[in-house]
Amino acid sequence: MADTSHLIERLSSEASAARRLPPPVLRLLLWGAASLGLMALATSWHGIRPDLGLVISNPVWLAKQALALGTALLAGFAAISFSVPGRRGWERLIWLPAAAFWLLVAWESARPTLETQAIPDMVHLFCPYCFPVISIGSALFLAADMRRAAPVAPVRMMALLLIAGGGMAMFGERLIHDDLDAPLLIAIQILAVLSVGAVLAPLGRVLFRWHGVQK
Amino acid sequence: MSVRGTDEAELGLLLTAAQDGNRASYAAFLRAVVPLIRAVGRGKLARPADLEDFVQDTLLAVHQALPTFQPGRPVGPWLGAIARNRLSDALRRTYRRRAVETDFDDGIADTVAQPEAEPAPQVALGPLLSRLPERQRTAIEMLKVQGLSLKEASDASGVSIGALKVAVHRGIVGLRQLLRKEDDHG
Repeated sequence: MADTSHLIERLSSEASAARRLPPPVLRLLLWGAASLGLMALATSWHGIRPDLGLVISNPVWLAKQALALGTALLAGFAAISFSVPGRRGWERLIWLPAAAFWLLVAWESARPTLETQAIPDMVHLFCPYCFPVISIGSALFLAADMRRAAPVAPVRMMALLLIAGGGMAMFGERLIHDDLDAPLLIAIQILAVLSVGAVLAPLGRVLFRWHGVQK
Repeated sequence: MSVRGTDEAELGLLLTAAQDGNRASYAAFLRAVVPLIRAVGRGKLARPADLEDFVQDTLLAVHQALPTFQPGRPVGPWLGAIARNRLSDALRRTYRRRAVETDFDDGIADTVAQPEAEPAPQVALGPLLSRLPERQRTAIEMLKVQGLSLKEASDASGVSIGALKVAVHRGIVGLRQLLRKEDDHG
Protein backbone atom coordinates (compact mmCIF):
# COMPACT_ATOMS: atom_id res chain seq x y z
CA MET A 1 0.00 0.00 0.00
CA ALA A 2 1.37 3.37 -0.93
CA ASP A 3 1.91 6.14 1.59
CA THR A 4 -0.76 8.81 1.76
CA SER A 5 1.53 11.42 0.21
CA HIS A 6 2.32 9.08 -2.69
CA LEU A 7 -1.38 8.43 -3.15
CA ILE A 8 -2.10 12.17 -3.28
CA GLU A 9 0.66 12.64 -5.85
CA ARG A 10 -0.71 9.82 -7.95
CA LEU A 11 -4.33 10.94 -7.77
CA SER A 12 -3.47 14.53 -8.63
CA SER A 13 -1.18 13.51 -11.49
CA GLU A 14 -3.97 11.36 -12.95
CA ALA A 15 -6.57 14.11 -12.57
CA SER A 16 -8.26 15.53 -15.63
CA ALA A 17 -11.26 17.78 -16.02
CA ALA A 18 -14.20 16.05 -14.31
CA ARG A 19 -17.56 16.03 -16.03
CA ARG A 20 -19.81 17.49 -13.36
CA LEU A 21 -23.06 15.67 -12.76
CA PRO A 22 -26.12 17.81 -13.49
CA PRO A 23 -28.09 19.06 -10.46
CA PRO A 24 -30.46 16.44 -8.93
CA VAL A 25 -33.59 18.13 -10.30
CA LEU A 26 -32.30 17.89 -13.87
CA ARG A 27 -31.27 14.27 -13.34
CA LEU A 28 -34.76 13.58 -11.99
CA LEU A 29 -36.38 15.15 -15.05
CA LEU A 30 -34.21 13.04 -17.36
CA TRP A 31 -35.17 9.93 -15.45
CA GLY A 32 -38.85 10.90 -15.54
CA ALA A 33 -38.64 11.39 -19.31
CA ALA A 34 -36.96 7.99 -19.75
CA SER A 35 -39.69 6.34 -17.63
CA LEU A 36 -42.40 8.03 -19.69
CA GLY A 37 -40.68 6.58 -22.75
CA LEU A 38 -41.04 3.11 -21.21
CA MET A 39 -44.73 3.75 -20.57
CA ALA A 40 -45.13 4.82 -24.19
CA LEU A 41 -43.43 1.58 -25.21
CA ALA A 42 -45.81 -0.48 -23.04
CA THR A 43 -48.75 1.53 -24.39
CA SER A 44 -47.74 0.89 -28.00
CA TRP A 45 -47.87 -2.79 -27.17
CA HIS A 46 -51.04 -2.99 -25.05
CA GLY A 47 -52.83 0.18 -26.09
CA ILE A 48 -54.34 2.83 -23.82
CA ARG A 49 -57.24 1.78 -21.57
CA PRO A 50 -60.51 2.23 -23.45
CA ASP A 51 -62.15 4.38 -20.77
CA LEU A 52 -59.25 6.80 -20.28
CA GLY A 53 -61.34 9.70 -21.53
CA LEU A 54 -63.89 8.97 -18.82
CA VAL A 55 -61.60 8.31 -15.87
CA ILE A 56 -59.53 11.44 -16.34
CA SER A 57 -62.61 13.43 -15.40
CA ASN A 58 -62.86 11.46 -12.15
CA PRO A 59 -61.07 13.48 -9.44
CA VAL A 60 -60.50 10.44 -7.19
CA TRP A 61 -58.79 8.51 -9.99
CA LEU A 62 -56.75 11.59 -10.88
CA ALA A 63 -55.74 12.11 -7.24
CA LYS A 64 -54.59 8.50 -6.92
CA GLN A 65 -52.61 8.75 -10.15
CA ALA A 66 -51.07 12.03 -9.03
CA LEU A 67 -50.09 10.44 -5.73
CA ALA A 68 -48.55 7.45 -7.53
CA LEU A 69 -46.55 9.65 -9.88
CA GLY A 70 -45.67 12.10 -7.11
CA THR A 71 -44.41 9.35 -4.81
CA ALA A 72 -42.39 7.80 -7.63
CA LEU A 73 -40.79 11.13 -8.57
CA LEU A 74 -40.10 12.12 -4.97
CA ALA A 75 -38.61 8.71 -4.18
CA GLY A 76 -36.47 9.08 -7.31
CA PHE A 77 -35.40 12.54 -6.18
CA ALA A 78 -34.52 11.22 -2.72
CA ALA A 79 -32.53 8.36 -4.27
CA ILE A 80 -30.61 10.81 -6.47
CA SER A 81 -30.00 13.09 -3.47
CA PHE A 82 -28.58 10.18 -1.50
CA SER A 83 -26.07 9.63 -4.31
CA VAL A 84 -24.74 13.19 -3.93
CA PRO A 85 -22.75 13.58 -0.69
CA GLY A 86 -23.75 16.38 1.63
CA ARG A 87 -27.26 17.11 0.35
CA ARG A 88 -29.84 18.48 2.78
CA GLY A 89 -31.74 16.05 4.99
CA TRP A 90 -35.24 17.05 3.86
CA GLU A 91 -34.44 16.10 0.26
CA ARG A 92 -33.97 12.52 1.38
CA LEU A 93 -37.17 12.36 3.41
CA ILE A 94 -39.43 14.27 1.04
CA TRP A 95 -40.90 11.07 -0.43
CA LEU A 96 -42.17 9.81 2.94
CA PRO A 97 -45.20 12.13 3.36
CA ALA A 98 -46.25 11.46 -0.25
CA ALA A 99 -45.99 7.69 0.21
CA ALA A 100 -47.81 7.81 3.55
CA PHE A 101 -50.59 9.98 2.09
CA TRP A 102 -50.90 7.70 -0.95
CA LEU A 103 -51.17 4.63 1.29
CA LEU A 104 -53.68 6.41 3.52
CA VAL A 105 -55.87 7.42 0.57
CA ALA A 106 -55.72 3.90 -0.88
CA TRP A 107 -56.51 2.36 2.49
CA GLU A 108 -59.40 4.73 3.19
CA SER A 109 -60.85 3.99 -0.27
CA ALA A 110 -60.49 0.25 0.29
CA ARG A 111 -61.88 0.16 3.85
CA PRO A 112 -65.62 0.33 3.04
CA THR A 113 -65.27 -2.52 0.58
CA LEU A 114 -63.01 -4.67 2.76
CA GLU A 115 -65.79 -6.97 3.96
CA THR A 116 -67.38 -7.53 0.59
CA GLN A 117 -64.31 -7.53 -1.61
CA ALA A 118 -62.37 -10.73 -1.96
CA ILE A 119 -58.60 -10.49 -1.74
CA PRO A 120 -57.41 -10.41 -5.36
CA ASP A 121 -55.33 -13.37 -6.35
CA MET A 122 -51.68 -12.86 -7.18
CA VAL A 123 -52.19 -13.26 -10.93
CA HIS A 124 -54.29 -10.11 -11.02
CA LEU A 125 -52.15 -8.10 -8.65
CA PHE A 126 -50.41 -6.46 -11.58
CA CYS A 127 -50.09 -6.83 -15.32
CA PRO A 128 -47.34 -9.43 -15.83
CA TYR A 129 -45.99 -7.50 -18.84
CA CYS A 130 -46.49 -3.79 -18.23
CA PHE A 131 -45.53 -3.78 -14.56
CA PRO A 132 -42.14 -5.50 -14.94
CA VAL A 133 -41.26 -3.53 -18.09
CA ILE A 134 -41.97 -0.16 -16.52
CA SER A 135 -40.77 -0.89 -12.97
CA ILE A 136 -37.57 -2.76 -13.83
CA GLY A 137 -36.83 -0.50 -16.79
CA SER A 138 -37.21 2.74 -14.88
CA ALA A 139 -35.32 1.30 -11.89
CA LEU A 140 -32.46 0.38 -14.23
CA PHE A 141 -32.42 3.90 -15.71
CA LEU A 142 -32.24 5.35 -12.22
CA ALA A 143 -29.55 2.87 -11.16
CA ALA A 144 -27.44 3.75 -14.21
CA ASP A 145 -27.70 7.42 -13.30
CA MET A 146 -26.84 6.84 -9.64
CA ARG A 147 -23.86 4.63 -10.45
CA ARG A 148 -22.19 7.70 -11.97
CA ALA A 149 -22.42 9.41 -8.58
CA ALA A 150 -21.16 8.48 -5.10
CA PRO A 151 -22.45 5.40 -3.22
CA VAL A 152 -22.54 7.08 0.19
CA ALA A 153 -25.79 5.34 1.22
CA PRO A 154 -26.10 2.24 -0.99
CA VAL A 155 -28.84 0.48 1.00
CA ARG A 156 -31.15 3.49 1.13
CA MET A 157 -30.38 4.30 -2.51
CA MET A 158 -31.46 0.79 -3.50
CA ALA A 159 -34.66 0.88 -1.44
CA LEU A 160 -35.70 4.22 -2.90
CA LEU A 161 -34.79 3.17 -6.43
CA LEU A 162 -37.13 0.17 -6.13
CA ILE A 163 -39.93 2.27 -4.63
CA ALA A 164 -39.52 4.85 -7.40
CA GLY A 165 -39.63 2.15 -10.09
CA GLY A 166 -42.63 0.46 -8.48
CA GLY A 167 -44.52 3.73 -8.12
CA MET A 168 -43.82 4.60 -11.73
CA ALA A 169 -45.10 1.18 -12.83
CA MET A 170 -48.29 1.57 -10.77
CA PHE A 171 -48.90 4.93 -12.42
CA GLY A 172 -48.20 3.65 -15.96
CA GLU A 173 -50.15 0.43 -15.54
CA ARG A 174 -53.36 2.33 -14.79
CA LEU A 175 -53.07 4.30 -18.00
CA ILE A 176 -53.07 1.00 -19.88
CA HIS A 177 -55.40 -1.34 -17.95
CA ASP A 178 -58.93 -0.64 -16.76
CA ASP A 179 -59.20 -3.67 -14.46
CA LEU A 180 -56.69 -2.56 -11.81
CA ASP A 181 -58.61 0.24 -10.14
CA ALA A 182 -59.96 -1.72 -7.14
CA PRO A 183 -58.96 0.28 -4.01
CA LEU A 184 -57.88 -2.83 -2.11
CA LEU A 185 -55.66 -3.84 -5.00
CA ILE A 186 -53.95 -0.45 -4.99
CA ALA A 187 -53.36 -0.66 -1.24
CA ILE A 188 -51.88 -4.15 -1.60
CA GLN A 189 -49.68 -2.99 -4.48
CA ILE A 190 -48.35 -0.05 -2.47
CA LEU A 191 -47.52 -2.33 0.46
CA ALA A 192 -45.89 -4.82 -1.93
CA VAL A 193 -43.74 -2.10 -3.52
CA LEU A 194 -42.66 -0.78 -0.10
CA SER A 195 -41.92 -4.32 1.12
CA VAL A 196 -39.88 -5.23 -1.95
CA GLY A 197 -37.93 -1.99 -1.49
CA ALA A 198 -37.17 -2.88 2.13
CA VAL A 199 -36.32 -6.53 1.47
CA LEU A 200 -34.05 -5.95 -1.52
CA ALA A 201 -32.39 -2.82 -0.13
CA PRO A 202 -29.22 -4.67 1.01
CA LEU A 203 -28.49 -5.48 -2.65
CA GLY A 204 -27.50 -1.83 -2.90
CA ARG A 205 -24.13 -2.80 -1.41
CA VAL A 206 -23.52 -4.89 -4.53
CA LEU A 207 -24.97 -2.48 -7.06
CA PHE A 208 -23.48 0.73 -5.70
CA ARG A 209 -19.83 0.37 -4.80
CA TRP A 210 -16.80 2.56 -4.66
CA HIS A 211 -14.60 1.62 -7.56
CA GLY A 212 -12.16 4.39 -8.53
CA VAL A 213 -8.46 3.68 -8.58
CA GLN A 214 -6.56 1.03 -6.68
CA LYS A 215 -4.34 2.03 -3.78
CA MET B 1 -17.58 17.79 9.35
CA SER B 2 -16.85 21.26 10.68
CA VAL B 3 -14.66 23.45 8.52
CA ARG B 4 -13.98 27.09 9.35
CA GLY B 5 -15.58 29.66 7.04
CA THR B 6 -12.37 30.85 5.38
CA ASP B 7 -11.09 27.28 4.98
CA GLU B 8 -14.47 26.30 3.58
CA ALA B 9 -14.29 28.99 0.89
CA GLU B 10 -10.68 28.14 0.08
CA LEU B 11 -11.42 24.42 -0.13
CA GLY B 12 -14.41 25.15 -2.36
CA LEU B 13 -12.21 27.12 -4.77
CA LEU B 14 -9.54 24.42 -4.80
CA LEU B 15 -12.12 21.70 -5.40
CA THR B 16 -13.80 23.63 -8.21
CA ALA B 17 -10.42 24.20 -9.86
CA ALA B 18 -9.64 20.50 -9.41
CA GLN B 19 -12.88 19.62 -11.19
CA ASP B 20 -11.69 21.80 -14.07
CA GLY B 21 -8.55 19.68 -14.30
CA ASN B 22 -6.10 21.84 -12.32
CA ARG B 23 -3.72 19.24 -10.88
CA ALA B 24 -1.91 21.59 -8.49
CA SER B 25 -5.22 22.69 -6.96
CA TYR B 26 -6.31 19.07 -6.67
CA ALA B 27 -3.10 18.10 -4.88
CA ALA B 28 -3.46 21.11 -2.57
CA PHE B 29 -7.09 20.18 -1.86
CA LEU B 30 -6.25 16.57 -1.06
CA ARG B 31 -3.38 17.62 1.21
CA ALA B 32 -5.63 20.11 2.98
CA VAL B 33 -8.38 17.60 3.70
CA VAL B 34 -6.12 14.82 5.05
CA PRO B 35 -6.11 16.26 8.62
CA LEU B 36 -9.90 16.74 8.47
CA ILE B 37 -10.40 13.14 7.37
CA ARG B 38 -7.96 11.89 9.97
CA ALA B 39 -9.92 13.77 12.65
CA VAL B 40 -13.09 11.85 11.65
CA GLY B 41 -11.37 8.49 12.13
CA ARG B 42 -9.27 9.35 15.18
CA GLY B 43 -10.65 7.87 18.36
CA LYS B 44 -12.70 5.34 16.43
CA LEU B 45 -9.91 3.39 14.75
CA ALA B 46 -7.39 2.27 17.32
CA ARG B 47 -4.56 1.03 15.11
CA PRO B 48 -2.53 3.64 13.24
CA ALA B 49 -2.50 1.35 10.18
CA ASP B 50 -6.33 1.23 10.20
CA LEU B 51 -6.52 5.00 10.51
CA GLU B 52 -4.14 5.45 7.59
CA ASP B 53 -6.09 2.91 5.55
CA PHE B 54 -9.27 4.86 6.26
CA VAL B 55 -7.65 8.15 5.21
CA GLN B 56 -6.46 6.61 1.94
CA ASP B 57 -9.84 4.95 1.27
CA THR B 58 -11.53 8.30 1.80
CA LEU B 59 -9.13 10.05 -0.60
CA LEU B 60 -9.93 7.41 -3.23
CA ALA B 61 -13.64 7.91 -2.61
CA VAL B 62 -13.21 11.69 -2.91
CA HIS B 63 -11.51 11.04 -6.25
CA GLN B 64 -14.48 9.01 -7.45
CA ALA B 65 -17.04 11.46 -6.10
CA LEU B 66 -15.32 14.50 -7.63
CA PRO B 67 -17.99 15.00 -10.36
CA THR B 68 -20.76 15.12 -7.73
CA PHE B 69 -19.54 18.35 -6.11
CA GLN B 70 -21.64 21.33 -7.12
CA PRO B 71 -19.60 24.58 -7.15
CA GLY B 72 -20.90 27.05 -4.63
CA ARG B 73 -22.11 24.40 -2.21
CA PRO B 74 -20.27 23.85 1.09
CA VAL B 75 -17.36 21.39 1.02
CA GLY B 76 -17.68 20.32 4.67
CA PRO B 77 -20.94 18.34 4.39
CA TRP B 78 -19.82 16.86 1.04
CA LEU B 79 -16.53 15.65 2.47
CA GLY B 80 -18.12 14.65 5.79
CA ALA B 81 -20.67 12.39 4.08
CA ILE B 82 -17.93 10.61 2.15
CA ALA B 83 -15.68 10.28 5.21
CA ARG B 84 -18.49 8.91 7.41
CA ASN B 85 -19.38 6.35 4.74
CA ARG B 86 -15.78 5.18 4.47
CA LEU B 87 -15.46 5.16 8.27
CA SER B 88 -18.46 2.86 8.67
CA ASP B 89 -16.89 0.48 6.14
CA ALA B 90 -13.54 0.68 7.94
CA LEU B 91 -15.19 -0.07 11.29
CA ARG B 92 -17.08 -2.99 9.77
CA ARG B 93 -13.79 -4.39 8.43
CA THR B 94 -12.14 -3.91 11.81
CA TYR B 95 -14.92 -5.69 13.72
CA ARG B 96 -14.89 -8.55 11.20
CA ARG B 97 -11.13 -8.91 11.53
CA ARG B 98 -11.28 -8.81 15.32
CA ALA B 99 -13.81 -11.61 15.27
CA VAL B 100 -11.43 -13.99 13.53
CA GLU B 101 -8.08 -12.74 14.68
CA THR B 102 -6.43 -12.60 18.07
CA ASP B 103 -3.33 -10.57 18.58
CA PHE B 104 -0.31 -12.81 18.34
CA ASP B 105 2.12 -12.57 21.18
CA ASP B 106 5.63 -13.31 19.99
CA GLY B 107 6.67 -14.26 23.52
CA ILE B 108 4.36 -17.28 23.68
CA ALA B 109 6.03 -18.96 20.75
CA ASP B 110 9.40 -18.92 22.56
CA THR B 111 8.04 -20.83 25.56
CA VAL B 112 6.52 -23.69 23.56
CA ALA B 113 8.59 -26.44 21.99
CA GLN B 114 8.30 -26.05 18.26
CA PRO B 115 8.09 -29.02 15.90
CA GLU B 116 10.94 -29.24 13.47
CA ALA B 117 9.82 -27.14 10.58
CA GLU B 118 10.14 -28.21 7.01
CA PRO B 119 12.70 -26.11 5.25
CA ALA B 120 10.98 -23.09 3.79
CA PRO B 121 11.34 -22.58 0.07
CA GLN B 122 14.24 -20.30 -0.68
CA VAL B 123 13.02 -16.93 -1.78
CA ALA B 124 15.32 -14.06 -2.61
CA LEU B 125 13.69 -11.16 -0.79
CA GLY B 126 16.29 -8.60 -1.85
CA PRO B 127 14.76 -7.80 -5.26
CA LEU B 128 11.27 -7.75 -3.74
CA LEU B 129 12.37 -5.42 -0.95
CA SER B 130 13.78 -3.02 -3.49
CA ARG B 131 10.33 -2.73 -5.04
CA LEU B 132 8.78 -1.42 -1.82
CA PRO B 133 8.46 2.32 -1.16
CA GLU B 134 11.62 3.64 0.47
CA ARG B 135 10.07 4.30 3.86
CA GLN B 136 8.74 0.74 4.18
CA ARG B 137 11.98 -0.79 2.87
CA THR B 138 14.10 1.16 5.35
CA ALA B 139 11.80 0.23 8.23
CA ILE B 140 11.94 -3.48 7.36
CA GLU B 141 15.70 -3.43 6.90
CA MET B 142 16.30 -1.76 10.26
CA LEU B 143 13.79 -3.74 12.31
CA LYS B 144 13.70 -7.13 10.65
CA VAL B 145 17.07 -7.45 8.91
CA GLN B 146 19.43 -5.52 11.21
CA GLY B 147 17.34 -6.45 14.26
CA LEU B 148 17.25 -2.97 15.77
CA SER B 149 14.66 -2.24 18.45
CA LEU B 150 11.87 0.20 17.64
CA LYS B 151 13.52 2.84 19.82
CA GLU B 152 16.92 2.40 18.16
CA ALA B 153 15.41 2.47 14.68
CA SER B 154 13.39 5.55 15.57
CA ASP B 155 16.48 7.34 16.88
CA ALA B 156 18.52 6.37 13.85
CA SER B 157 15.94 7.33 11.24
CA GLY B 158 14.19 10.21 12.92
CA VAL B 159 10.84 8.52 12.24
CA SER B 160 8.38 8.06 15.12
CA ILE B 161 7.85 4.60 16.60
CA GLY B 162 4.20 4.59 15.51
CA ALA B 163 5.13 5.47 11.93
CA LEU B 164 7.80 2.73 11.93
CA LYS B 165 5.24 0.14 13.07
CA VAL B 166 2.87 1.23 10.32
CA ALA B 167 5.65 1.16 7.71
CA VAL B 168 6.74 -2.36 8.73
CA HIS B 169 3.16 -3.61 8.73
CA ARG B 170 2.54 -2.20 5.29
CA GLY B 171 5.89 -3.36 4.01
CA ILE B 172 5.11 -6.94 5.06
CA VAL B 173 1.67 -6.75 3.46
CA GLY B 174 3.33 -5.40 0.31
CA LEU B 175 5.96 -8.17 0.34
CA ARG B 176 3.22 -10.77 0.71
CA GLN B 177 1.40 -9.37 -2.30
CA LEU B 178 4.62 -9.29 -4.33
CA LEU B 179 5.37 -12.90 -3.36
CA ARG B 180 1.88 -13.95 -4.36
CA LYS B 181 2.31 -12.25 -7.72
CA GLU B 182 5.66 -13.99 -8.22
CA ASP B 183 4.01 -17.35 -7.44
CA ASP B 184 1.19 -16.65 -9.87
CA HIS B 185 3.64 -15.90 -12.63
CA GLY B 186 5.46 -19.15 -11.86
